[in-house]
Amino acid sequence: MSATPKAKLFEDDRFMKWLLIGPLVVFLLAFMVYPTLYSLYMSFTDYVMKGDPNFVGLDNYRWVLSDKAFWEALGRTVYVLVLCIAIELVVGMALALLLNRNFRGQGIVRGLCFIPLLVSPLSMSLMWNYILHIQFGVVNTVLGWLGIEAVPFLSTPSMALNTIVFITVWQWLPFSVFVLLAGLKGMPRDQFEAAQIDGASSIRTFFRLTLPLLKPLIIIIVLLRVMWLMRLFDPLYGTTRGGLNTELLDWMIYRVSFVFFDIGQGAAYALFALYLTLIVGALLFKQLIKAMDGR
Amino acid sequence: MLFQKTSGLVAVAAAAAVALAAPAIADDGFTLADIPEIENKEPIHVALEAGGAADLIIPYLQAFSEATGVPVTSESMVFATIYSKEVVELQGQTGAYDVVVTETSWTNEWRDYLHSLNELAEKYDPEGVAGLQKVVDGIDPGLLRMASTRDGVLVGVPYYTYTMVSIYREDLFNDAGEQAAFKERYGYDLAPATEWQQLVDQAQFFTRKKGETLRGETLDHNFYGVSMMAGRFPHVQDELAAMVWSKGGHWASPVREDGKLVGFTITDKDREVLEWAFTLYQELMKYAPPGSENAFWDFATAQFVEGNTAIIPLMYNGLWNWASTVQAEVPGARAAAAPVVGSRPYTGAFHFAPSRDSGNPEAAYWLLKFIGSYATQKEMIEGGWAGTHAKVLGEPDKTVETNYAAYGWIPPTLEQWDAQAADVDNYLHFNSSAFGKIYEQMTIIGHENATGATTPAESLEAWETSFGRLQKKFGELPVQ
Repeated sequence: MSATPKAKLFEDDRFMKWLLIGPLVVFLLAFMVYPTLYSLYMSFTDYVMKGDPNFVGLDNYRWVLSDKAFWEALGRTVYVLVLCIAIELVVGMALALLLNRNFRGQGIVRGLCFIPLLVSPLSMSLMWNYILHIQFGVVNTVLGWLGIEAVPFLSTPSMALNTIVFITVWQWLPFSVFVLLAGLKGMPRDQFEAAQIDGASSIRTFFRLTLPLLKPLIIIIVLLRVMWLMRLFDPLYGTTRGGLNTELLDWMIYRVSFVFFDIGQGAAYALFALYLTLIVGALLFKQLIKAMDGR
Repeated sequence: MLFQKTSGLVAVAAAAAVALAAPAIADDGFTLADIPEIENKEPIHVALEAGGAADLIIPYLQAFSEATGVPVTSESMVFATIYSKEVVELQGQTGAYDVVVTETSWTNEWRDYLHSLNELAEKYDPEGVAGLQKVVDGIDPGLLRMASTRDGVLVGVPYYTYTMVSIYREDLFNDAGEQAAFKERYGYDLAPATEWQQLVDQAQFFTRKKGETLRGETLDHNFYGVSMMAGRFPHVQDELAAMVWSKGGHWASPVREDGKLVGFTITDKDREVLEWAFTLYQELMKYAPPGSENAFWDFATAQFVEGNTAIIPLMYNGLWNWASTVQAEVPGARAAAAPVVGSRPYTGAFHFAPSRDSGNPEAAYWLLKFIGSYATQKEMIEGGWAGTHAKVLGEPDKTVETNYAAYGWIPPTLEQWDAQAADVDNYLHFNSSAFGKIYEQMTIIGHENATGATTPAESLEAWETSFGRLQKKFGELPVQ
């Protein structure tokens, strides 16, 4: 008995692929591609949430490129991004190595390490604002008991941005820790045993064996963190609100788009940030594929 | 003789009757019972500012709902998000809010979104515009101007004010030792400042290190002259506005032709006053506690209440309740309120305004009338609310002596409203239809100046550049 045309259709690989991927494609077209293209259109207009949008060509992009505040915000964003990723990787690796050892109560320690990731980012920023306050914060109160002068964590331009880095690292460090820990747990034992038999030192084993094996995971961490940190917003909301030299790119986009409602200019800022993220993301993705292929 | 005595008694009785009737004259007599049957029973949704103020008003919304049969729901938002959230709904004509909460400086910007209250009164009120007028007549005229467009169309009823007053430690100002030391150092008496230089002197005078004495007692912590709100919040702009207005300057002066507003200009005098205000702010920051660079009203008031500062030179009157608790926190301390230097504080209010997209403007109108009425405002003010009803606030029992915590802010507020009433019409805040955006920019400039990131001259330059750009982009009137 020959198959019905309907059954034949379901046996067709190409059809099945499109059928399965179809809902996702529709979703992406509606909620990703269309808004992005609409933002692109808006970035060429002077729309300010009143009247009709008028085409202004590249005016908004000219403004972006000549806006000192934008470049300053971008500079701060890159600073925060580099510092956060560096700290999260180094400290995250150290903690992952510690947690990879067997010790009593490791389940509790792992659970506690995970908590920052579960806290709402907005509550977290408000919480740190109070904890680190120079006059009323618990940290400075304790420092005072120890005879140490109060630290202006969130009240001087020289400290505030680094405090934002600290708050961000505090929340996201567990992400690196647990991704790296998963990598350590899944490592092939035989290669490490061979290294041990050959008398390789633990430092040499780490740099020549552990690190190369973790490279794909490290690239994944960097890739995701770059994307997330380019959109860093919450730590500013409950603390400086962009003041004290802490305005980051995403806060600026929010301010221009949703406080000034300068949709055209906000779209130009946002798309510029998107292009940057895409370029960095594409480079990292290429590295990831290479690392996964073992090249 | 008997006649004389009798006539004397009659005179006393008549005087007493007049005195007793006085509140009745101020009373518009409007209560929930006066609201006629509202035909449209569609629910109305009210936007509120989150926090204590919102909590206090909710029972009145419920009372209105029970009396009229119109369900009233509310949504509380933190101040930082109110503007953005409401603009999106208003511009999108979603009708999400029947009644929007409006900061007085947004009035002109939102005028296309809001109903004229007079038009609603004509349509729904059996007494017409006169019925509305009778109620709003009790509200401070300056605040009513702010709740009106620059063309004089009333679009909202102010129900909660945050006029700034100066709050200071009365016990320090009255201390004989401090008075003598101050006079010796500055050559004049220690009293609430009426000139800015006096405030700077007082700020400097009261700034003391741990181990020095204050009021004859050794300090166990550093003490500072003034609480300032220099964080990147709207308050830094409000402080600067009080300084600018006190000198007769403007952020930008109105340009009028035949009495009609045709544009704005930053005059030489404005430039001079603005640069002076930026300089003064930086000077005062020298005597403010660490952390003021990122402070807004809560930290500024907390510093005072905890006994860390002597004066909050510019603080919203609604914060008096909290500030006055310093006497419970610091032994022997007592707060007092005075007009701010120059008596031209940032004077603002939240007003309720019916959205043009409301599905039930009739109920929205009656709700506004109820909230603004004498009886409601009286109850609210007596419950600790910073109400807008000048006649209630001016009643003889609303004194510091009768209720220190609830009424301490009232005398300076009324004095300032009177002093400022004629000026309000000339303030950029209540004339520019781009002010929601300009306000944010002022905040950034004020904060940068306060933290020393920019010099006063640079702050002025930043203001001139950004004002011109924002007014051109978002406003209707030109900058000349």
